Amino acid sequence: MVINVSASELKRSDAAEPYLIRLYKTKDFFTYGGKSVQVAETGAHVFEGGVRHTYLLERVRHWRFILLVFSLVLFLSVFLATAVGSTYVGPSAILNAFRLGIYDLLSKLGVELGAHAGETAETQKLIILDIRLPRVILGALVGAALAVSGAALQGLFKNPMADPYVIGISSGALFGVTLAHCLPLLSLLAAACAKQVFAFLGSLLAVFLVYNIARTGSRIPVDMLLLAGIATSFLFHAVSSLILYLTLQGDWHQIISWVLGGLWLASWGQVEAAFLPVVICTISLLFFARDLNAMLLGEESALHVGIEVEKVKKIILVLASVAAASAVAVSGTIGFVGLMVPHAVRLVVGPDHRILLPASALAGASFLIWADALARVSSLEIPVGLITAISGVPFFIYLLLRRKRAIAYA
Amino acid sequence: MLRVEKVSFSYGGARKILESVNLEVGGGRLVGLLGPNGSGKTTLLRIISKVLEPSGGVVFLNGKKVSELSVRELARELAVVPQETAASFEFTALDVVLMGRTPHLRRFELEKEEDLRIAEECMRLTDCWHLADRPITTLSGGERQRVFIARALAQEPKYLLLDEPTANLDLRYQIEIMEIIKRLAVEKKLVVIMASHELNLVASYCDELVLLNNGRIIAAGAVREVLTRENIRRAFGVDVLVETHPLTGAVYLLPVNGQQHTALHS
Repeated sequence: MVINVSASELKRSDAAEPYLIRLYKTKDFFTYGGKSVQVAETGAHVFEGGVRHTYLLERVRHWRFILLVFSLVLFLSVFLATAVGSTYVGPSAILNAFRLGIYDLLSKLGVELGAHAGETAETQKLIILDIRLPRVILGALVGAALAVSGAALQGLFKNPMADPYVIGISSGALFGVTLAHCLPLLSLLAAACAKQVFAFLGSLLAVFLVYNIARTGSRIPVDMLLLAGIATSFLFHAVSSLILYLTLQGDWHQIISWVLGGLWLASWGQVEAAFLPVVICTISLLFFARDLNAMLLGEESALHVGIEVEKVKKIILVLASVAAASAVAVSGTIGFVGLMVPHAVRLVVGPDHRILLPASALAGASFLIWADALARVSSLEIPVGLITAISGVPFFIYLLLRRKRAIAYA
Repeated sequence: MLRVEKVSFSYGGARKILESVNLEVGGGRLVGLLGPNGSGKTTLLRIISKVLEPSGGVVFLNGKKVSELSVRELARELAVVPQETAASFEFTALDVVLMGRTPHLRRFELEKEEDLRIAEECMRLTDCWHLADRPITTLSGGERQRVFIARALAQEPKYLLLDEPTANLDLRYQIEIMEIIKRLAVEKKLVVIMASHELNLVASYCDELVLLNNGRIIAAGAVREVLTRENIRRAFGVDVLVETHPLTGAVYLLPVNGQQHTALHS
């Protein structure tokens, strides 16, 4: 027998203690007192011992499902975005290019699969695999790095406005890269140890400045953080632009592209440079997901459940900086990805960092792939940073307004 | 057993926040920590919970020095219910209580059924299991306080510190929270120390009281020995009548002409 029970009826009944289960699907069935009961509303309290343990189980299932969907979207995005560009390449040609690419890989491993490609196919393969694919993958890495960095920073500062761009990490990294790129003495050094290192040093300098300017006692108030971030951001942006202006002899196009951020320099070499730091930082940040959760309840409170707050805070700051810096080293400063993506993702998956961080990384990757695809469709080659900024700033203002309302009603 | 030995604290300046405080509390005891604002109650709790390091003296838990325990080890022994329970995030009450399991879990370990069972038991004890799936942001002050007590209990501590757990609560919730705390001390054999300004509430529930003034303990022991007219005058500068509750037999205090005094002097 099936009875429809509304949430209120379930709660009213005093036949048994209400067992909590958050239901993720409507119309789940379970048995109660020998009858099969159908839940008409999600979020209802559910009785019956048999279902009590499903909270944890459902949560893990839910997380797995989210990761699966987000991964699938990313995979499809990588594939589909290679179709976007100034030269039209049809879907079958794309598949063909991927096939040829796999043959090439296999032949390197000594497996020869004959199939010699024609000249058109070779050209298309070149466009897809050597021009577009590295760019798409680089976009994914940059997006993932910025989003996961933003998600971690928002948790760390307990502040939804934090983001590697807003709090100055990105411009600090830009400063480092610019120095390595433009100053002859340093570029010799830079040849020895990758640009990433300079980006990282620059970002750490920025974090150090912002952190110490904003810190008031043991707290980091929101307004101080934003103001210190903006000031630092301006400073490093301006100095970087100045250096670029002087050394590039006023090549405005290139300067603007650097400062606004874009993926036009993408190559397999760039992908290789960004891959390890981004992946390592993302995984390492996952390591601290539970700590971030606890710290959302307040730092002292996190200490009481056994988290070494001061140490963890520093580690997370460094990891978030390295992630963002390795993105900046290959793409310039692309703004607001780290702000918008974790926010949107949080609405879907909730505040738990154990799912928020990986989901943000996946979503950020997909997001930047499409933002860059949009930048490419116009033959003008718009810096992708402009597109993220144009979509990001209204979002930022929306958050500010919501905050204002919250303060007004408080 | 909790032992505080000659603990002093200052923020570097000449003024001492705490001066040579000694304290010894055994299991199953509910101890009230009293004193005017700025007398050092919160500082003492923060030193016991290792948030602050004392400038002198030692805190022992079961004979072990607190300063030599790791934060994680300490969290399995001692839990704290903070004065303010900020909540600007959408975790459910159950999620918050499950966070109390942190010191018992390894880094990548997910909560197991056992953890859920403990969380449930703690939430039932503090009467908030029915709130389990509500976002913490939607709970009232009293409900949130109960959730945070449940979180502290989920750590399975032997020592529980509470900093003004009844502040900002109405009379009904004050009594409810005190009943819960009292029951916990007895049933779970916890050492409970709570800082409070509610003298009458504390008088009817606590086994022992400690009265602080200017960073020194001026009285400690049974309720009747601590809540005397003389002690209250010394600590708070207020004249009170010490009465016995006709029904419960507990001590209660009545301020004498407090209103008129201040009115005359201002």
